[in-house]
Amino acid sequence: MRFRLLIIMIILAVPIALFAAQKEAVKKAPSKSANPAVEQKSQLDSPKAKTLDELAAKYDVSKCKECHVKEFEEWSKSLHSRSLIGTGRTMATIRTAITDGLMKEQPYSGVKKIEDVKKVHLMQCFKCHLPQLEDATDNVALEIAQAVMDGDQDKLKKVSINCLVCHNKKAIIHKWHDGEPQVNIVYGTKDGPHPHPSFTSHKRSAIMQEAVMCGQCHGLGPNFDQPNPSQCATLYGSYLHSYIPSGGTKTCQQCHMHEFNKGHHMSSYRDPEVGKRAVEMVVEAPSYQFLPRAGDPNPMTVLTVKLTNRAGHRIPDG
Amino acid sequence: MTARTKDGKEFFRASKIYMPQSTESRGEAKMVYAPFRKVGIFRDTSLQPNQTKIETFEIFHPFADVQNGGKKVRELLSKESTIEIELWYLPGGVKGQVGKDQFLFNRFVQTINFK
Repeated sequence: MRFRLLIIMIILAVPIALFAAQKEAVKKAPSKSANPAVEQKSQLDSPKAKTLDELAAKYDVSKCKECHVKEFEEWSKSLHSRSLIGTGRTMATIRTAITDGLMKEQPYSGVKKIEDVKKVHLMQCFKCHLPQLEDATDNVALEIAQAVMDGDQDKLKKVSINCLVCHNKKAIIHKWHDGEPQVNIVYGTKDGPHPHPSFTSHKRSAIMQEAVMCGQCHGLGPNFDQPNPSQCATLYGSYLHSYIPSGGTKTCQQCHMHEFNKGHHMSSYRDPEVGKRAVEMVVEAPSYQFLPRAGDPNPMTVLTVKLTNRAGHRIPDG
Repeated sequence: MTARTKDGKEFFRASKIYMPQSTESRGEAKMVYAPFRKVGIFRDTSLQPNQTKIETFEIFHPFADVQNGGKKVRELLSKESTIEIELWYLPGGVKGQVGKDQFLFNRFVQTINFK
């Protein structure tokens, strides 16, 4: 009887002991999913990229499409996904900024030949067209500048405004409130775990659904923070100083992502549906015999065209 | 916008450009292109949000004065005309391939019949 009791006690004690040991082990060494931000090394947590390929790897988003199929598909067809090329005009404009601007019209730029191009020279464009260039060396700037000169679109397509630019690098603007974007976190609209080897947590970005998110690049006016100001998009300035005073209440995301159901394609003038809705055109065309003086009737049509801008910014702008 | 007679002869053409216009803000009153040159906005004819821009065009239809029984009579050369208005978005400022260089926002066509 005593022996039987001992056996029962042993049978009960072993799993209890194992459970307790496991619990203790978990306490001492939390699993990666318990505190992934500390455990995992992020692809962003690496030294400055020395080559374009290294920068592309640092900002690689290929894993995003495994779960975010629709969003990835929309983005991959967008101009954001080819931000150094655009429709072709962007690449051409970057080229003239180098050849006509830096090399000719701006004698104090320090650029006489392509080999002189450094990050500081490209940031007038890349502040928005490739903000991650900040995380690369001057060698990468030169590599990109050379690709621009060569019209090497295959090379330029390797880097762009992608998931990590909006959902990490540019996701925080109130850095004294929220700190710098963390290398292991993907910022969106909610908090929680995120099943990705590098970005193991989701965190809510305070600005993700605000117009200011887009306003960071679809700008205010001249970039005075640059050594030589450049002025590309002025759309957010128009939004703030014209659309809002006119009673406008929508955000960029509401129209360009949700109302037109364009998601991460963020369609604009290239989409006929968006274009047609952006400007309402009403025409009246009465005809009559105009009599500028007696006996001189002039058959005339008076055409009145009323164009109403229904967008949240001036048209055109970018 | 254009106006054409029934046989397709254009007798009126007009266009308007809506865009912000920039200089380099370096003392020269000269409009420039390209972001690396543009600083500020010198003039802005673009379409402003929630505002209506009204354009009026006076289209005089072609006529001829003919003698009829010793009396001068004014006759329209075409009693039927077609008015066409198109609103295009030209991101590069120049016309080119539709869907690449220029995008149609709106189109209006009306036939005018003088009695």
